[in-house]
Amino acid sequence: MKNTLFFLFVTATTLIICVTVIPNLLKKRLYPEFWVSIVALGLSLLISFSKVFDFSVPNPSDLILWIYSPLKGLIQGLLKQG
Amino acid sequence: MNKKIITNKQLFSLAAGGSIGGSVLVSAPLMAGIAKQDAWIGALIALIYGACYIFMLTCLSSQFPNMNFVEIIQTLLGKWLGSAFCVYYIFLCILLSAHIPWYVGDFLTTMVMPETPQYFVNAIYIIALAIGVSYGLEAFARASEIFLKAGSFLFILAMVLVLPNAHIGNLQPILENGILPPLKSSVVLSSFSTFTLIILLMIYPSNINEPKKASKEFVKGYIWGGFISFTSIFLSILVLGWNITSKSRYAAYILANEIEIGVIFARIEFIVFASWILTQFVVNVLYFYAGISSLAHLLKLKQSGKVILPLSLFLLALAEIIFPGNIYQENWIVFGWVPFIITLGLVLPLCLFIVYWIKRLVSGKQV
Amino acid sequence: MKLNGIIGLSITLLILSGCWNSREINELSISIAIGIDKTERGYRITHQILNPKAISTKIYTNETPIILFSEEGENVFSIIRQNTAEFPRKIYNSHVRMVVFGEDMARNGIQDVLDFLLRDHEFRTDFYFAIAKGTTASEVLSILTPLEFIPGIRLYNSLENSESYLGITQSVDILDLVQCIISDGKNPALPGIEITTGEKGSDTLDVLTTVSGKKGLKYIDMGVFKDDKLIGWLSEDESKGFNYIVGNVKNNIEYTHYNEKDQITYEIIDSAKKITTSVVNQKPSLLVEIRVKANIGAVDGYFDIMKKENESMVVNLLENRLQEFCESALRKAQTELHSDIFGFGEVIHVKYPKLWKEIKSNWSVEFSRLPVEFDVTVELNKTGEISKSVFTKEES
Repeated sequence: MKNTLFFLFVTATTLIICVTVIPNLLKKRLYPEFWVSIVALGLSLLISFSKVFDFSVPNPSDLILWIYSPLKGLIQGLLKQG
Repeated sequence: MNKKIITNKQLFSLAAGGSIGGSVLVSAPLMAGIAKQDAWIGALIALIYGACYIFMLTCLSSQFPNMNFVEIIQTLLGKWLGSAFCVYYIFLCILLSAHIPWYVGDFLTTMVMPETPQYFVNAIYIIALAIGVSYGLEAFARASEIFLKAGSFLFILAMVLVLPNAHIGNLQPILENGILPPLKSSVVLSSFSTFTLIILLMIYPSNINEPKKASKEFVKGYIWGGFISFTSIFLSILVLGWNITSKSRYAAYILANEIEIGVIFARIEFIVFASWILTQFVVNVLYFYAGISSLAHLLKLKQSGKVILPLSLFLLALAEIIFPGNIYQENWIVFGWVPFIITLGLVLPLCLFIVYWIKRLVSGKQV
Repeated sequence: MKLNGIIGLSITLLILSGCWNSREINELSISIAIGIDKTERGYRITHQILNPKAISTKIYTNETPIILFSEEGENVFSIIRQNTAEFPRKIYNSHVRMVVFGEDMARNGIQDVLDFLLRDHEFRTDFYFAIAKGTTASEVLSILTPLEFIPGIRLYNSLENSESYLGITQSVDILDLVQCIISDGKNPALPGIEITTGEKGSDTLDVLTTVSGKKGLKYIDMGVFKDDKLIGWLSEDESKGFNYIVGNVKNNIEYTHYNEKDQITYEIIDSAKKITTSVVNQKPSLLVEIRVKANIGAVDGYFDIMKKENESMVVNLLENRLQEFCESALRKAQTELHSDIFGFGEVIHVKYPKLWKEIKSNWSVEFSRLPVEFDVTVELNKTGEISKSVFTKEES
């Protein structure tokens, strides 16, 4: 129920933005802005879909953890209960 | 983008707000876990070398008076490497802009309203955020002056009122395990309050109207922010003891729970939250603004204001998935956030500095 | 423009529609005191819940000011939720003033309950703890009290008062208690409550219409813990000694005999302690200095307290009396209970961190043979509204 509300909220906002902002961008030939908006809206929709239909999307925090995973031992020694 | 609109006073409040907002509620438990009763010494150490660090930032950026940080990166590191770092930098800004709403939502849903869904709190906060950013830098910088005054006042009020509950015995024995644990804990505090100020290079010095005196205000603002963070950690340990501090989630709030002077000054712990959210908002707008303006620079957007709304919605969605829970979040802080911000906040400016000097030596004159 | 207006309106509608999980006051039942007992099945939790109708001054009713809700089960949190099956309203815990442990519960350890009390967001940190001595917490909470109609608040107030003006109890909030339990060099001590005997039961309103002879509540003795388990009791005199040693006395009454039947009464108006430690041959020892300021409260017989040579006697009598209290408290803690409730371990920890690391694992044994000396100094302040006893006959 809570997730559905979230999904509805995101979808509704996306629709409103699509109706109000996006046509303006195209009219004024602001193509980079158009693509940034489309990607952002698409990702938000994807995330809200994942909440309702219960599939997992990659979490950017995991990416950071993965990038710095070689340093894990070092940080463990440095910061955990010194 | 390069309008000279920020006064030195506003720079002071932006720097102070940026330094308080990230750290004041969050860092005390981690620091106390590492340095136990000596965590406050760690906060002092962080303040001292943080001031040196801010001084270094101002030295670096004053060589490029009309560029923001992204432009400096691209000038010094070349187009491809520079762009790669810019993308990483934008990633940081967007990620952080989604983290802070998560903290606000988590705080409210942990401490006050556990049955409210977190995204609802986040949504209200992000609407305010989007409005703040779309009003533009000038309006926001002015607002930050008021926010800082109100936030500092409320916070200091809370700390003064909680003083009667302090037990000096909680600080002793001082330096029981030597100086090393406080040093380690100072790294944690710096990664919340010091290195995050790299974000201010987006507006300093290119948007400052009096660049000559600005570096001093920058350092002063940082020191004020560091002082507030120090106070929160110092009093958390003084009142709660290191053990409870290190095991609490939001130590300064529990600290303010202890305020009880007569009938009037009791049950006012929410003023700590108010001061936190005010300064937190300053950091968040800074990050979001930095993210959007570097994105605009990289992708050559003409009207960056048009992407605020879609990106805000994206932040809301991101804040929903970014931390599955607070156990994940506490782990991530140590193994993700600390190295992440050290790379971008400390290592990157140092590299830029070195590259700058090498280029200058090779060409024999100003780059 | 029109569209923007619609969007703006719908957003305001969304935000201003009210709080998400707001609960109105007439949907809450406010819990004032909680009692926790150990039973065969696990725990028995008793909530003392405010009856708003009875305490309102406008409506006259003969309902009791509190309603007791008691439930048994295996798990604390789920028991607290059980009430929704029985009660029309959800219990609201932010106004809890007292948590009372039954003696059995305290002897079995209170740590697990404390974790819940700290973790749950509804509980604040400003309530006090007490132990129902020789009885169960639910018995204690079922007693109705005169003057202050809500027993939980009565317990809270009289704990604060008996700490300030009697010096035999100690008000301990949850942070202090947790800190004592996790500290290696200090053990907690909590005040005990006893039900005073009377012919009439005290759980009906009738009791508030009689003058005397009913059951009541009284703070008595201090329960000594080892880590989180109750192991014994300090008597009243020992509790006094304990409070002098930890520097908890603000105002107190003491009396001494200057001859077989006549007494001098003192009112202690200020007390301060200083604990110093020294190490000889890797063995720590302690010196507790207690400085007390006292007024004369009453003098029996014809004793002339205004005489210069009598002053030292008046002072010495009180010093010896206080020293006895302190020594009896220490003796009980060292020889019988082997529990460092005074925090002497912490004093050594602060002064000699290295030595502490060696002895802390064995502290309860070390504490039992720790040499402690007391140095009590009394300063006489005022003699009250009269000087000599008015009944003294002038010889001239």
